[in-house]
Amino acid sequence: MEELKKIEGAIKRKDRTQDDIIKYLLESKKQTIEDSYKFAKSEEFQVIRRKLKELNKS
Amino acid sequence: MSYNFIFEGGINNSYFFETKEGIIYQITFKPTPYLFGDGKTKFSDFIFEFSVLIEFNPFDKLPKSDFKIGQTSAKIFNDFYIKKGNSITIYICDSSDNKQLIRKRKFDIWFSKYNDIRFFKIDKTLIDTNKKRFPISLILLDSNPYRNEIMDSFTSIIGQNNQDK
Repeated sequence: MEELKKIEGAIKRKDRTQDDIIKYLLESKKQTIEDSYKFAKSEEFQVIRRKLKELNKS
Repeated sequence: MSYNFIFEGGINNSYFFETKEGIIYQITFKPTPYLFGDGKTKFSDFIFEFSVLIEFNPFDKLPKSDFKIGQTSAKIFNDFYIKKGNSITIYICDSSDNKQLIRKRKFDIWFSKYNDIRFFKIDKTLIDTNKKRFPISLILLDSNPYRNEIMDSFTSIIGQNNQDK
């Protein structure tokens, strides 16, 4: 998250480079994947699993 | 036929569905407001990064090919645009395992198969200083009121920088 904040600072500048844009998008994607791993271990995800089981029963 | 899905929302506008094999996918549309600069353009708040994530896989190996996943993803895409019609979706593939071109090809197949002509896609390639290539797609409704400005902004951030490579 800290890294993404730093990159956001760079990408807001007018003289940003294509490397800044790539870093921003890849760091954002990396963050999404990390959040997904964490979410999979959470109680909230167990609630989603139960909801999906119910949904697919009907 | 597609799989049933649920919309959970949250910061990343999350959707979930479960395949017949018990694999659970999460599809997200994450706000990405700074792609075109400092986040003050008319359409900055409508830019979202699209991701397809495996949230639960009961097997040790990667899931087998399943045409329903593409169909379900397309339905979710449509549902998101019903909720937020002026959205601009960015798709950049995860490149951490160097499989970004395979992912991009699969995404392109889904798009051409399930697009009902309402959507408009622009494909470009970002190139970093090490000459590594990153395919990127931008998708919006053809009826988006900022369509031309968005296309110009997208083309200029890619084109201008690639001229230096």
